[in-house]
Amino acid sequence: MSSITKNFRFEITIFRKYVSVLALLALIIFNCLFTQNFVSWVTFSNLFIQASKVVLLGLGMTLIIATGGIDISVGSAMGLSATISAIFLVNGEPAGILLSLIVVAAFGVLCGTLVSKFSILPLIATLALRYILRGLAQGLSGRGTVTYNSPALTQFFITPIAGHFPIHFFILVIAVIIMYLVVNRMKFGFQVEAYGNNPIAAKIAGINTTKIIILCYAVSAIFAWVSGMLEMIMVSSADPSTVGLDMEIDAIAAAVIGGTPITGGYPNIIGTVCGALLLQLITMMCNMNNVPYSTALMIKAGIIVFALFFHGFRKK
Amino acid sequence: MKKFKTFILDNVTLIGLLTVIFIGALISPTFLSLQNTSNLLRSASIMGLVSVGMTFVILCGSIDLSVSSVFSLSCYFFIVLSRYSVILAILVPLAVGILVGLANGFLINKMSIPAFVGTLATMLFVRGLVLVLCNNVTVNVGSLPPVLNYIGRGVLLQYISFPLILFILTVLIAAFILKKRFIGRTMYIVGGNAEAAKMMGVSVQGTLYTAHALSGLMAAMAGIIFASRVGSSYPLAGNGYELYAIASVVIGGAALTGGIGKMTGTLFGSLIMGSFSNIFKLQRYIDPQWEFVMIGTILLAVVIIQSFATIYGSARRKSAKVYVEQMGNS
Repeated sequence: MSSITKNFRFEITIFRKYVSVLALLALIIFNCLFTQNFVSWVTFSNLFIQASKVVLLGLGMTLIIATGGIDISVGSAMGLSATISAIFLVNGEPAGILLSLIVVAAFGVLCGTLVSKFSILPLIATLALRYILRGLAQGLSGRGTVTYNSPALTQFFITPIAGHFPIHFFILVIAVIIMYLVVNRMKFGFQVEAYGNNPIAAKIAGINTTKIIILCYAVSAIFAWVSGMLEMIMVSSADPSTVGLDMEIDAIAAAVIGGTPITGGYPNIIGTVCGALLLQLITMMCNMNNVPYSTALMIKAGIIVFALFFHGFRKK
Repeated sequence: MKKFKTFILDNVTLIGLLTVIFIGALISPTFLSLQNTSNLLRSASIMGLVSVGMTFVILCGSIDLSVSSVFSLSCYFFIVLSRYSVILAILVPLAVGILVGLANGFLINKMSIPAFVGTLATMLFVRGLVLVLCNNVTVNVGSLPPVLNYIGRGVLLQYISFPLILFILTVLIAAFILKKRFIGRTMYIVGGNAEAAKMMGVSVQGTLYTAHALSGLMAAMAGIIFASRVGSSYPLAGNGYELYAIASVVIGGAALTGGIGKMTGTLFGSLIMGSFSNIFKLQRYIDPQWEFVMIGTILLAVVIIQSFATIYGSARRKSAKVYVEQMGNS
């Protein structure tokens, strides 16, 4: 291959890697020009607060999609963690929040075990867990919303740090930096990518694939726990039937728009973050311009299709 | 003995169904009453039709998440058009279902988007479309024409409901197509090994188009029956049905990787799911809130058993292969 084609191909890869970043920038510029009252600190801090859940779920989803799997149980995991914590807070035992983390992480480990040890397809294993976790949340709450009263906790989360930055912003930045370093600078990230590209080769190369898969699903469950907590604290209550319902769709969309190949491969963390922000920005843009929710759904669908088309994935 | 063993292995789903029925009869005396059975079969047939369509798609190694949205779209068209014309009210929803299926096929074939995300996008799009059309409110018409009314509520001989007859007919036709027709056999081949199918001269893209169109058609048909039964169309009708249908197909013994599965399996699988939720409504021992947990656990158990069966099977095959290799070396 001549160097010209090599360079050309290299540029295309770079372009594909940052398609979502470019799209996000384009959308922000478009909004700055055409949407009234868009350029304000309130808008941006709202964007971060609202997008935080999808970004966090998307980070976990990126890892799982990079291994060639899918996790449709994260929304239910959010619901379960929020419900368990709310029940403990009603009884005045804040330590129960940690217990909910342990429970949700244990389900993540279970899911990873099913996928790696029993070689059950991720879609069907997480489908079963989706039912089980949602049902557990509903069963434990005993019909209906669990409302607790803890003004101190809510106040702590609502108060912006340093006058402007909402606490979500810091949680997001820390999570993204950690995940970026894990994926791009640590052995774990490379092993995930190797597994996603070719599971059999990765195994032959001596990678402990079982451990990798279980870790990925556990990390995803932990992120689901964090976003479940964020949702619960914002409204001081947890509705087991609706917390996190269908959030996995947004998370998958964010990861896919971000450029992580759904057949497995390089986990593109920055892409996922931009993808999630892009999705949230579209929702906000539609709200600010009085476009109904239904149209926003259709626009989202169009963006998913075009993102996939531009990334040019090929079926294995 | 060996014959008996293969018979058991071939009909695990039927045995599962009989077990569920047995448990139901033990738990509640009303479970086996004619009225309850009739109700159960009617609601199971609506879900069953969606599962039949899903079976075609899963056999090809693809998946269709858009069925729930197609379901509610066809509900909407059926209710709106029932005021004007009986024939249009039936044909337009079916045509729309096929159209969405073909759109899925286009995304998968021509734009090489993986089926999971491609149909996810269609699902969001069609759901948005339904919300736009319905204007976020339930659409109501006073009363349906008698013919359309009969689709969802018609009863033969007091207990045999019309949806059940439609469902049985569909399963029979679908089984015939899968067993005897060219297009049915190609679905197995494409699902088993798409590369080999291409080399054999089978049109992989054509098969995928057909399977997705059939899936859309079946979802639309289920939507028509549901709308006729309820008499109105609400925008979130059928939400979550895609996962329910996938669960039915998998319980029926089909492999999500494609190439393995039977129509009778899907029939029994959807009956198991249907009887299960029926039993749950009849019993008084466990809070109905736990129904999802039970469904999930059963699904998990079925999949784990299947996985053990495959591991066992492949281990046997592997040992045979090793044996052959050793023979070759010596």
